[in-house]
Amino acid sequence: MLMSYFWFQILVYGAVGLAALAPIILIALVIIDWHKEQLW
Amino acid sequence: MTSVAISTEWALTIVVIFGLLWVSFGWWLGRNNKTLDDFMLAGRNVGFAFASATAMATWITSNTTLVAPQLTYQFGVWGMIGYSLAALGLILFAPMAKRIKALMPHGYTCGDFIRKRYGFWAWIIFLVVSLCYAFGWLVSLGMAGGILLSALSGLDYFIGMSAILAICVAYTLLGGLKAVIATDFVQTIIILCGVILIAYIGITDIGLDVIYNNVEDKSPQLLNLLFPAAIMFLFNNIFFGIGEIFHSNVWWSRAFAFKENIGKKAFLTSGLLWLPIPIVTGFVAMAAFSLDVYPESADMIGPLIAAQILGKVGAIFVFIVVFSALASSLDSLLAATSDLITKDIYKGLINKNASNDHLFRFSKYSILVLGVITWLLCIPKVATLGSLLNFTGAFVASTIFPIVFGLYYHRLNGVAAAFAMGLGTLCGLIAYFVIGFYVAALTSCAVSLFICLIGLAVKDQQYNWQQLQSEE
Repeated sequence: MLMSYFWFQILVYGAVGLAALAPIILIALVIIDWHKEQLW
Repeated sequence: MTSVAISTEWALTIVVIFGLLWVSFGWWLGRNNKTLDDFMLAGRNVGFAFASATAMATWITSNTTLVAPQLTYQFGVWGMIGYSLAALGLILFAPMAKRIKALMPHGYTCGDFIRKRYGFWAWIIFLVVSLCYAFGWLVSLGMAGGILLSALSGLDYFIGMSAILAICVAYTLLGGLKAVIATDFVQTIIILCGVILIAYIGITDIGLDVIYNNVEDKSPQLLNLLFPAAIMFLFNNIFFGIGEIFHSNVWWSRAFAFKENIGKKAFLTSGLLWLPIPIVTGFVAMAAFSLDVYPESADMIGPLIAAQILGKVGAIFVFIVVFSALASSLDSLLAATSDLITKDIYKGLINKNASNDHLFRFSKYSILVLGVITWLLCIPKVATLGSLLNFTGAFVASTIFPIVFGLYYHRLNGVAAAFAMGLGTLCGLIAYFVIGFYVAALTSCAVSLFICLIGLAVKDQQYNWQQLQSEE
């Protein structure tokens, strides 16, 4: 049973989309911590 | 290998520039390290942002950028999905990190916990398992450094491997865990931007439909959802990932280093952010059939495809991404293994009266010695990255249940825990050699669970949790 192109698209596009959010979230968290002086 | 993507001069220039950058950053961050807690655990005061980034960066290793494409090339969709489920390790460790910090607010290593919870022999077996894994991972990372430089620039394997190891040892030595965590943040951002760019250009330039159609024509088993070895690999990798995180001092030292009430949400965030990364790095390997790239060794598939997609300038970018991924894990592992050697082996077995100032100095020497031993073990390039890493799966998966029961259930005793880890590892190794690498962790974990359950049924230890704080 082969994975259909539809599910292959969902898998790849979903992963790329979620991965693209990661650096934005991490940079936002650092800015917040830095403002609160809670980095360390 | 199809071709060399960048010149040796370019590769060396990048290594020198980033090497100087990381080492200077490490020195700057480490200049105020005065105590053992500062050096080993970043003052036990790491905030949420750095905590999340370091957990994520450490789990994005060279293996995520090199082995995830390799496994996709070998096992298809289950290869990349299986690898991404290693995120479960981070997610499940989240509540454990909270529990660890609460039970042992002054703890240093996972060895501390095993010794106090289960006694001497379980502790010794655990140290053997833990050090075998640590060296397996260190060697895998050192080898990956050499393979990367060799694949992308034609530079001799020995020189590339030596350079990457030397840089990581230098900045870990100068800055301790603080340097490791801060560089991890910068490295995470570089890695994430890199892998997203490669995936985006792969999709837009080649086309997802073209990639899919070529795989369907030339290697349809990679899309087969009932590929038996791949399904076995998926379950094996879940237990391997969980075992790697639950037992390793890389993660325990972070649980001790993060601020109060930070560990749980930081590990949860990092796990969720990490989940899609192996799919992003892995699916690119499927483009091999569209680009007619056929590597000599399967673990070179990722960088070669990325270099092919992005061209010469892109290859430089790929080089920086994988170099960052290597450094982000190598530094963490050097620091955590040095902690284990300093606190468990040196203070625990050799010099029980050593002061914290003495241990502070000793831990720096141990990082240096670890670097040299790793370098020596990396010189003969003995195995592919995937097989070397999966070999250690037999060791780590045996520790999952002794650690979980040890943290949450007072009943399990030290004898059962020692047998569970010892026999679990032994059976896992037998499965590795008799059946294949994709069942080693699964077998090890199952045997260990069985012995733990017998131990629970036979004897109630009624462990007093206060003992975990007593000796500090």
